[in-house]
Amino acid sequence: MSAKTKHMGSVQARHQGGHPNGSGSRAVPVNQVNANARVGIGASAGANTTAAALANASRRPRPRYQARRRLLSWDRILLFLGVVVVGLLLGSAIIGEITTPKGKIAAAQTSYNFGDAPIGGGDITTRFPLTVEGDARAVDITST
Amino acid sequence: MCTKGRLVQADRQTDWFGLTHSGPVTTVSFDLKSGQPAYLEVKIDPAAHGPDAIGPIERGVSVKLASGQVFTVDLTANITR
Repeated sequence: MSAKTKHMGSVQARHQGGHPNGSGSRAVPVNQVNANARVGIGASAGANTTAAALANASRRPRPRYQARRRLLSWDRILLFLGVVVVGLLLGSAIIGEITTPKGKIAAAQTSYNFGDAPIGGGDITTRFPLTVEGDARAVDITST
Repeated sequence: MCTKGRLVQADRQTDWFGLTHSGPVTTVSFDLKSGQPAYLEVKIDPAAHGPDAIGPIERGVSVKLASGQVFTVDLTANITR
């Protein structure tokens, strides 16, 4: 056993309530301390125990990776939903564009003079006959 | 409201649309069937601008179609007492 190992053993003993020089409590040998400690990398338990611990440690996903995996899964769900929404919007826009009537209207006469109109005579009205060329859709009527 | 217009085809028609004192009211979606008679009906209220609004006036009514076409008719009158 090296001097370094002996020193580590003394530190372990101090943590357990002992004293480095042995006063008040007995210094615990390194092997005994490590046997009582949690089994992990560097523990001096038996070879089989160490191998099993290593295998378990490699199989068990670490919290950080678990969180990353969960995040990736949410990302995929959001991406999928985004693609679906964009697809629906594009689809409805394309269908709307295809099915919108694109006809035109024309009229033989596009102006009219009412002549004299008494201010107290009520509304003055006229009609412009239209020719509809292909199905059409009016989307706006304005006046000036 | 001074000048208004509406589309009529067969037994269907739009509401009257035109300028109001709060701005244009133009929302319309009216399908015109090809080959069927239709007309644009317009009307002007000569007293819309008050009792002193006497003299010649020029108005217009425009219909915008989904195809992008804008069809406009021009109206003139001489308002008298």
